[in-house]
Amino acid sequence: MEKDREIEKILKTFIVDVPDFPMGSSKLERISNWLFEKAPYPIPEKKINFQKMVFVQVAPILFSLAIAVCLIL
Amino acid sequence: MNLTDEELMENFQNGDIHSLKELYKRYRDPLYRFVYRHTQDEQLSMDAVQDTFLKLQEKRHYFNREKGRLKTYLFQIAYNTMITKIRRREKWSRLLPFLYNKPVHVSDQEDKMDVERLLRSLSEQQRTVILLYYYHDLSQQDIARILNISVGTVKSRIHLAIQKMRKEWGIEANGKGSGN
Repeated sequence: MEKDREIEKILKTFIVDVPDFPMGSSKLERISNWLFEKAPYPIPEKKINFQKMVFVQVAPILFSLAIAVCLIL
Repeated sequence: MNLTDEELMENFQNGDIHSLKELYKRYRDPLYRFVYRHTQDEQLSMDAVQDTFLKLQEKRHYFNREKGRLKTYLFQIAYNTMITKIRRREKWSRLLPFLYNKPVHVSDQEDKMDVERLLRSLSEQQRTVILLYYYHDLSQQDIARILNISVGTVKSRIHLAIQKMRKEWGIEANGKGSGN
């Protein structure tokens, strides 16, 4: 079974740059790496429409009101 | 003097730490690329490579050059480590979804993005065999040993993956390649 050369040519365009990292790292370093990992930029991934925008703006107000009502009662 | 991987491993088994460093220098990049192309997650890939070498140190005496090449042994450890990490992440992301973000897929080249997307469209099992076969030049026997499956299963996974990729890329079957 020989390799499919056309597919191989396409696959070879996926080049990965390897960052410099040591052979071992402490648990603390791993946790900090995980915490400060590059965050995805959310806008292209999520479709923001009018309803979602209104929700994002109104939700904190509603949440505060709900907390206030709970505290008063 | 250029020692083979197996000779370096033998030296390491006898306590030579420099041989381990040399092995790390040789295999850090291929192992990282294997895990990264599979998961497209930079942090997970680095952790998996570091854990692979940690396990290699812990289980150094389990390696026997008569049973197979060191390259196969390292990829086997890396694969198992990666799968364990993926499963663990899936479990945690179900429990605490707000803590886990999908990996960022930002590529500067359109071709590269297409290949990334194409690889993601394959099943986990198909992706693994394709990566090992096309990027790391491992034989089907080696892949079977790494994944602990039969050579027939490796062949069938490669065949199905190739068919799927050809369909996705709109390449017509021309008689050569996967099925021959």
